[in-house]
Parts: sequence; structure tokens; C-alpha cells
Amino acid sequence: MTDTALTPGAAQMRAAHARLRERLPAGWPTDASGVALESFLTRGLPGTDIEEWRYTSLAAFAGRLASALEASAEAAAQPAADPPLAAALRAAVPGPVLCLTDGQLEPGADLPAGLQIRPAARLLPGLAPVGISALADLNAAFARDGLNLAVAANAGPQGVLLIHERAASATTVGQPRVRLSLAGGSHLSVVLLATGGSATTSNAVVEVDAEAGSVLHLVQLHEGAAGAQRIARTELRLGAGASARVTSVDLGSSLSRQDVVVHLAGDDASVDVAGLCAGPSGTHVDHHLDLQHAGRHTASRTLYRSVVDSGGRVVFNGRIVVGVGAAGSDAALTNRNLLLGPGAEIDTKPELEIHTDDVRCSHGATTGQLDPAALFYLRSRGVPAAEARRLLIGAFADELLARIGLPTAEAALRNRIHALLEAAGGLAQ
Amino acid sequence: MLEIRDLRVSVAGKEILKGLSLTVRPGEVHAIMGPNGSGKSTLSHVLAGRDGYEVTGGTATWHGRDLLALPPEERAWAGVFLGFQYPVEIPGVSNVYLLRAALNAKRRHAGLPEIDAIGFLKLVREKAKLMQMDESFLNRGVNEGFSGGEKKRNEIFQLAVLEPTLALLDETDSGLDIDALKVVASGVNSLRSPERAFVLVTHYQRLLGYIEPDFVHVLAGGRIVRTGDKSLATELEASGYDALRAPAA
Repeated sequence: MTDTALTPGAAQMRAAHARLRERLPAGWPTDASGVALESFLTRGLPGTDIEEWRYTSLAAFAGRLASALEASAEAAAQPAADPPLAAALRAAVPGPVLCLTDGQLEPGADLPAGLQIRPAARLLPGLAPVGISALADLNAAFARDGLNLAVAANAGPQGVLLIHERAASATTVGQPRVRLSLAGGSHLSVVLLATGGSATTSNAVVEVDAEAGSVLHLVQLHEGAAGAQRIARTELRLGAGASARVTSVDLGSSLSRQDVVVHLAGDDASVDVAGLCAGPSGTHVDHHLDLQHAGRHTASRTLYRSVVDSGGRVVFNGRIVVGVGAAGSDAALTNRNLLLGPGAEIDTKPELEIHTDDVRCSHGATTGQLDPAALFYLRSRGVPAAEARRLLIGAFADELLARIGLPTAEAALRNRIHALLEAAGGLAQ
Repeated sequence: MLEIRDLRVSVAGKEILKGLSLTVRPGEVHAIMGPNGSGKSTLSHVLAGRDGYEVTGGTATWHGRDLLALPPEERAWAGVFLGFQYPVEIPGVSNVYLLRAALNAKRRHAGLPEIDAIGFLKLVREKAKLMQMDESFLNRGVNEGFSGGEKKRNEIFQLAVLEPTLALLDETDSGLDIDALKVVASGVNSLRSPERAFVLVTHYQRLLGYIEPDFVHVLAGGRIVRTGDKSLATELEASGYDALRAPAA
């Protein structure tokens, strides 16, 4: 099952972990950290022989991990230079900014009433048991800080909070870790901006515990850089009547893998999840969605779109599981993909797994190119070819970008997507 | 002046236009009529620069410029406008966005500054009023969810905003009820001017009851087989196309 060649040797990893322990802050749960390490070592990094990783090889990631383990003793990591999007988005989000650099929370931001930062040491053990995901285990083993944010019961909408996860430029593998705990009836609106620089590597875990009746609006934005690698797992557990709106926008990097796992645990929980993946030339963007309907009368709406240029690759796997007790569930998934040129690749797979009667489920995926009739129509009006293509790509992306609800951020993202595709020639005829 | 000389055009290897010649001067309105499959739509599409039409012979110039050598957007900048028989729906690109992009591209090409926002808004509102279009249509996606009549009305609205010098209207009357036909026709009539030429491609005489052409041509078998004044359209309506093909041959 596992390509053991991918994983650095157990002795090397244990030695690195022992060195890490000496530098961990007081009160850090080293037991939980050690358990996660051992769990990781029994499985190692998943290879492409495992279905969930079929299109995404971790070989280069493994190489960086091995060298980072050697170098980690003197990890005074500097943040990588921010990519162009970061400044625009930091300006566009009106609320406070919490910055996680190489997984370390920077002090500073004043939070509105109802929001509280809890000790990072309580991030472990994670909400999900060890052994579920090798990469989540790896994160738990080597994390040494993070953001543990709690929203008080019945706290009303607070504006938008920006969490900026910045990868470090040094030869580290960052293990950023975030937990958002929404007490019953509370509201939280968060933009999680993850940025990387040339040759940065990170392996993020975001956990959301949304108790009964809480409401979450989560936007995840990722912009890497040439050579950057980021793996991220976002796992939400929604209690009875809780609802979440999750939007992931990924502008790609050499490797970007995002798993979104949603447990509709309580009755009447609902999620509206969407993603926009841009795959400019030279990028590999892989999004996996795993939607678990467990409670009764749970609802999910899923909309993923990708726009891929020649030399880019996007993978989308959307899995919906309706459990035995999830009577009255309602799930719909659509996936639309736009290929901009020869040599653009999209691998898409919607999956439905239904273990109960009395459900409504639908799914569908389409892949195509820019509509030549629409292109001709625009050009016949005098819109130049490249601008016509940009208009149509923008129209394709806008429905998803509009979910963010921050017009300046949406405009910045749209412009950035165009610039990335333009630089790679995707807008040329 | 539009000058088409011995134009030959093939689609997928099949010759559709077989030596078509036509001269249209500024200010004139020409109607091109003909049976289905005679090449009417091919003519308007090839003049606007649509892909998939192979010009195998002849020339087409507008004020001396070789239209056939230009990409579609440059034909638009040269003053050519195609009113589509089947206007395309483009969700997510609003009518006003399209028009501003089109106007500004043309202005940039002419070395002019971009149109200011207030002037643009004033222009589109005025033209929407002319076409009796609700202003809500301006911000909707191009033709998105429009009825057949609304789409055709939107074509003439775009024509009014873009102010081309050569308007090719491809079966603009098809699918219109009588009220929509009147609005479209009065829009076209109000846009007639000494600088602007119209080529109306139509199957039926009906439109010509509302827009009076200077010339009527019958296109059959890829050529213009007969030319006359507006009375030719009436004659066609009475006798049908078959009767006209014989004397020309």
C-alpha cells in the first residue's frame, strides 16, 4: 500500500523528533506528538499506488522532508517573500490579521469580543484520531505552535478575520496548524490566506469544530510560487443545525494538494462548499473533497470549477458518502472544467456512496474549452481576442469568486488569475 | 463603400458562394433575399470574419480596406457590425461590460482616450431608451435568459451604441413577433444616416415593410441572380423564389 521509498528512515525521523522535543515550548503535549510520529512511521507517505494519491506524487515532497529533518536543528525560519496577491488581500480584508509564519503564531492582533486565542499546546491531540491521514499525523508530530481560536457561544458576526499562513524560505517543512472552535450558536467569518515562495514546503492542518447552530464562513486562498509545495487538510465537524460555507481558491504552485473533509455529524447540519482551481503552466493542483453525511436531514451543495492552461494539471476528486443513519440527506455536486490549450490536463472524479434509502443525490462533471461562438461574438463587437478570452475566463471564475463577499479581494484574485494565465501564454490565441 | 468582387467561399470543402459581386455605398440600405441554403448567412459571416469559412477567390473591401485580411475585431474597428441571427448567450459578461470593452478597444486603436464612465452610462441609457429596453437588461449577462425578441432587440441596441458604418443584419427579423419587429425596424430606421450602410439579410419580405431598402438582391445558388428596387421584394412575395431563378439563368 505504501511506497516506503518515499518516507525518510524511521531512525532519521525519530532523531529529528527527539531534537524537536528539546525545543518545544513548556506544556507541549509531547506524548500526543510522539503517538502521531509512530502512527506516521507505521504508514509512511502515501504513494501513487493509493487511489487518493494516484495523480499526485509526493516524491519531491519526501526529498524536501528528508533534508529538512537534517536541517531542523537551526530552524530560525524567515518568511518567504509574499507573492503579489498577499498585499492586495491583506488590504482587502477589513478585519484583524493573525499571522502564522512557518507555523508559528506572531503576537499582536487585537481580537473583537467573543474571539479568544487558546493555548496552542491544546491543539494536540487533534480532533480527528491519529491514523486517519499520514500527512495529518506528520503535522501533529512536528508541529510546535499554531493558532487555536475559539468563538464564544452565541457570539454574533464579527466582521472578517484574516489568517495569513506564510511558508518559510529556509529549508524547513512548515507544519502550520489551525483550530477554529465555534461554540453553540456562534458566527465566524474567516479568510485563510496561504502563501508560499520559491521552493517553500508546508503541510497544513486546519480543524473546525462547529457546535450546534453555529455558522461558519470560511474562505481558503492559496497562492504559491514556482517551486513551492503545499499540502493542506481542512477538516470540519458540524454539529446539529450548524452550517458552513466553504470556498477554496487555489492559484496553484508546483504542488498544491488540498483535502477538504466535512463531517455533517449533527442532524440538519448543512454545508455549501465550492472551489476554484487555477492551473497555470507548470502547476499541479489537486483538490480532494470528502463529504460525510452522518446526521439526518443533512444537506450539502458542492460546486467546483477549474481553469487549466497548457502545461498545467488540476485534479478534482469529489466524494460524497451518505451514511446508514443519514436519512433525508440531500447532496448535489457539480464540477466544471475549462481547458485553455493543448497539453492542459484535468483529472476529475465525482464519487457517490450511499448507504441509506430516502436520500436525494446528484452529481455531474463537464470539461470543455472556451466557447468559440462566444469568442467570435465578442470579437465581432471589437473586443480583441486576448481580452475576449480574459472576459470569458473571468465570467467562468466570477461565480465562485463572488462567494467571497469582499469585492476588492475578488477583483484582486480575478486580476491575479488573469496575470498568471497571461504570463504562461494561456490568453494568447 | 463595400465592394465585393467575385467572392467564392467554401465551408468544409463545399462551395457556398460562387462568385458573388455586390456594391454598397454609404447611406444605402440593401436587402439580400433568397431561399434557404442560398448562402445568405455565409455572406454575412464571412464579411464579419467567422472561422470555418474558406475564401477561395475574389475580394471584399470596405472603404478600400481588404476586409478579408483582418481579424474580426479589426473589422469591427473598421466600422463593420454583424447582427447575429442567433445571438450568443454569454453568462457572466454583462451587456455594459461588453460594450465598454468594445468601445474602448476601438478608441484605443484610433489613438483616443478611453470613454469616461459618466459619458458611457449616458450613452447606453439613451440607446436603451431608443430600443425600448429596460435598463435592467444593461447589467444582465449578454443575452442571458433573453427571449428571442429581446436578443434581436439587444443586437440593434449594441449597433446603436457601437455606431458602425456598415451594419450586416443576418435574419434579424426571424423569430420576432410583430411588436418586436416594429421596435427593431424603428431602431434601424433611426440609425440610418448618410455615412452608414445597411445590408439586411432576410428570407421574408415582411421586414421590408418596415425598413424601406434602396436595393433588393436575390441570392440563389451562391450568386446574386437579380437586383431591383423595393418592388422586387413585393414581387418575390407574390411569385416565390423559384420563378425568379429561371429568367436570371
